[in-house]
Amino acid sequence: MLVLKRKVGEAIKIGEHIEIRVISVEGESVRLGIEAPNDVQILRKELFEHIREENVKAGSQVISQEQLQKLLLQQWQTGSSNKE
Amino acid sequence: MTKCEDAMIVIESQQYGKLEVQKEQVYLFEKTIIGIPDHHEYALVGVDQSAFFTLHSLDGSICFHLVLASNVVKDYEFTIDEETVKQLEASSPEQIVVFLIVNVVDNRLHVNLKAPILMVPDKQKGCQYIISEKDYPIRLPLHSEENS
Repeated sequence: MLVLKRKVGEAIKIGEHIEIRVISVEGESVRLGIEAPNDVQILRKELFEHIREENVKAGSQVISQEQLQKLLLQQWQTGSSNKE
Repeated sequence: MTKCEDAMIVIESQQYGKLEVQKEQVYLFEKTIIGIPDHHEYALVGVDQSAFFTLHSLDGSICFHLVLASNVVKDYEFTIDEETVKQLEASSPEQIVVFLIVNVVDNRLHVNLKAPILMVPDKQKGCQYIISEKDYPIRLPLHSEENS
């Protein structure tokens, strides 16, 4: 991993189009400003990882339509509200 | 994946065996689904008498179960950014169909409200969209409509 030291107000460039600036530092927290093209998705890593794990789990599950229907019925019936 | 003359595509699903789909059922995911890199084409398969759809990668290695968001959640609203609308080639919001990925955990159905699958049947384009404006759950148990 490349490690760089930056002061508040200073920035780094990643390639031609992405800029990350240190806005402020308060204790353990660092505020970053990020400029990137619209098609670059910027996410907190925890969120990315969380979604990734959920997707991988969902995408590799083997479950029959019958089983899905059965669970759906069960869960609607035990739900506390009425579905019209 | 093998293509036949009559535009049928055969998917050899690792989980569900051999599956024939029409060319029209295949959606292009320019941006891949998070955690599933290199898979850009998925076939959307509806199932008779079922609330569920399946989304098969053409190589047969991945299969998602989906439900229509409008069928299972109320008051589910979010804004789709321009970049995504452009990428899906949607000319109006009505063209975008919102699906939720189903996950079975501890023998219960859950849906991912935070990162729905958006699809535009007219253009056969799709993507996974992350809703940043609201704090929707990634794993909501499907048992009632008391959510959000």
